[in-house]
Amino acid sequence: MLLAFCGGKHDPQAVLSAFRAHFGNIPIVGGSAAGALVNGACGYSGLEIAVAAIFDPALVPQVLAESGLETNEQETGRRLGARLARTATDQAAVMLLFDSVARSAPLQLHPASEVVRGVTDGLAGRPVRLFGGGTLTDMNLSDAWVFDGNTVRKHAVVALVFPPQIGAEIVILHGCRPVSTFMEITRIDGAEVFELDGRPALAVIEQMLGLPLGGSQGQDLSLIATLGEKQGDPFAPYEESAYVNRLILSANRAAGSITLFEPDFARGTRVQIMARDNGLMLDSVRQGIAGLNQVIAGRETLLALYIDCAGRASARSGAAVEEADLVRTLLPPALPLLGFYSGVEVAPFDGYSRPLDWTGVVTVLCRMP
Amino acid sequence: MNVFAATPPEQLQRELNYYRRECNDLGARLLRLQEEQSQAFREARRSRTTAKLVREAYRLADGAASAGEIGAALLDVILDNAMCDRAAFLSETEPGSGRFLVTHAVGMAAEASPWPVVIVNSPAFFFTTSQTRIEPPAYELTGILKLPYILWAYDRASGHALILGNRSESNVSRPFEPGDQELVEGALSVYLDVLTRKQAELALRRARKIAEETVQATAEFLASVSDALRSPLNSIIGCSEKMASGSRYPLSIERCAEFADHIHESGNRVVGLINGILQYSSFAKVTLSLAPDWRPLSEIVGAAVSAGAALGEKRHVQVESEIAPAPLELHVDPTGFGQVLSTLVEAAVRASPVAGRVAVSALLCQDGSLEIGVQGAGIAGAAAAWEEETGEAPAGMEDLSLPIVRALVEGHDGQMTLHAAPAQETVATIALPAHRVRMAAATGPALAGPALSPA
Repeated sequence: MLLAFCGGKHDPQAVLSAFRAHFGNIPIVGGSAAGALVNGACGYSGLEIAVAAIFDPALVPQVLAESGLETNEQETGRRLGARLARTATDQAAVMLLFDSVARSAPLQLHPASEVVRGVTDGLAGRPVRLFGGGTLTDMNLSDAWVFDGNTVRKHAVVALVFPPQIGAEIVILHGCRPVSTFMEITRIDGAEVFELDGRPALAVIEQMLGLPLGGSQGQDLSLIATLGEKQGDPFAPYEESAYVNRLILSANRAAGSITLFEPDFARGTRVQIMARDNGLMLDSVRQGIAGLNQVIAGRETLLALYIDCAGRASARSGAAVEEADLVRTLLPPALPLLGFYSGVEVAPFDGYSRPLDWTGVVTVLCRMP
Repeated sequence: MNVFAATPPEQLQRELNYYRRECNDLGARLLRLQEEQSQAFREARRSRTTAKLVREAYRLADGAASAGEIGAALLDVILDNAMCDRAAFLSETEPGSGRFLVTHAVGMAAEASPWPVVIVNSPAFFFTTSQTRIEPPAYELTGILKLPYILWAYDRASGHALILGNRSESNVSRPFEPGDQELVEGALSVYLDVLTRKQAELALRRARKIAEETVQATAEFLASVSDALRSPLNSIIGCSEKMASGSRYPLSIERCAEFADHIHESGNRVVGLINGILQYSSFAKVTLSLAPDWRPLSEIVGAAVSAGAALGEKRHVQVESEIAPAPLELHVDPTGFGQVLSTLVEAAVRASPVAGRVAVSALLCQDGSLEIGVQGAGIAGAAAAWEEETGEAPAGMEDLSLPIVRALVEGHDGQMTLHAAPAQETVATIALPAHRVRMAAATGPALAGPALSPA
């Protein structure tokens, strides 16, 4: 089996044909990528193709795929989850991939929270180690697609169910810190937040930034700030892993609203404005990978997968150091690494798997003792 | 002591509000500082792009096999560093003509047009944003990459241009601006530098190869000439000694006439060889000073056929052009390439039997290259090759011009192949690459055009 992530400037059918011509009729799973990384390099020009091959038949994951995200993300996820419940063993490592962009004009995403909620419902309590991400063709959210094992698909969700002898060690890398007091969402419709503490949400954000935003500039918001929901005790000392962040997708001046990447906040949710902090992001990488390396020390490691939010690339974040470069240099050099820049990441967090924004999810597949 | 218990609730609320205000204010300042820092780094990253391009370009130039490879590789580097969706290099069909052909493109799949784009009064620098009105030259330039937001640089002196394009003006593909002039002009300048350097390097290699081949051919030629001269000179000396005064050789009138005929024949052979030496010298000079120009195929072939026909008349050999009247033009040195065809045609005429036939044909291939065939009973080079294989004496092989003809063809980036078989016609085929061939009407490469004649 091939795991393949492919820059958006390539024709996916041509790439698939080339793989078939070279490797024969084997399953090919993966998708488009705003960028890709392997042990030796990373890039996000749109021309990268990163591939990992799994040769041992005993380690090859089962591939499940469901179409229909364009109609109903949650129901599509639920169907996949039900199949997962029948296929996966308890605590099985399951990698979830779906195309993030539903349509480009006007931009509409497939909300990961809906997909993951559906998958969780379908699993009906079956405990699995669910991780993965939403694919993109580029950092401007132009399009997305997935390889489902056989062909190129849109509006589809794919699960790789690893056999029970493979375990997954997962670490989430963060990088945002709160820069405001708590605010309550007082009016929201889906992913569109209209009011924070009773004031127009856009006005609140603009006041924080000191910048008038709106129109095409609204997209710049995703470069600057996120909204974060702190899990657990809100007044506990700052802990980066306590926050679920939501990127801001766009702003609507007429409505005074902002639209988030995910529709999973509700009226009454207490949020803080979060600043992306490049220094914190790089510290999180160093500490997270160091911790992971301790966990996997002495174990038989097979493959590292890195699902990296496209916003963390230095072209977007403005970080002086390419964060993905740091990840690949800090992981053990003998451990094969495959990664891609994503639109959203999915990982176990606070007891269950959920979508995350502006994170990096490192998963090391290990042979179980 | 619990200070909160002793503090009135109104005062606590006032303090809380104060801290919240200060927290938000400090947070906002932090946010702006971080954004300014990120913005500065993104700007610095853009500025570093040109420096990276220079470094990468020269590395590519060292590794690339041909000048053509550099364009494609450099576009990949530009795309990677400039974070754009599409990019292309263009070249004017004639500097200053305003007719541009895309020579290299990346990110376009099959969408790059093979036809020329006409840009009247092409600007040296141009960009479009969402505020740009779609009128010339924005209309033509955005049509090249089929994207609304483009960045363009044009070097009038060389006739080359670089265009970058984006689908959208968003957070990564930010709007183009005047400050991007340094980037796009720098990238074009680097491309032209490494292109010139590569072309010079290839020209030097070609010149060196020609020089080495010339030296080799000279040595072979001198050795051959020495042997060839020895026989007729010995004949002249031998016959003239017998005819000299004081000779004791019994001479009759008939023997004298016979010896005089030998002397005359040998003298003519010597003169033929000396002509060969002069011809060789002339070819060698031409090979080293080729000055290519666009000339009609029919004109070049016609001249060679006319010269061959004049020679053929004496021997009743028919010389014909089988080239259809398609308006093809070749980028060749008129003298040098004309001599190639003349030499092959004349050699074929000389080697043909009385009332034989020599034909010149051309085939336009799918990749835009052109194959010119000279078909006859015996072409000098083919006959020479045949001689090597069979050891038999070749027909019409007085001259030793094959290496020179081959060098002239290679001097036009072409290749010459010879096909011969006993008792059959021989064919010399000259293959010229696509960049040396164009349709006269379109003034662009004659890609995938029709076959002019079956070759």
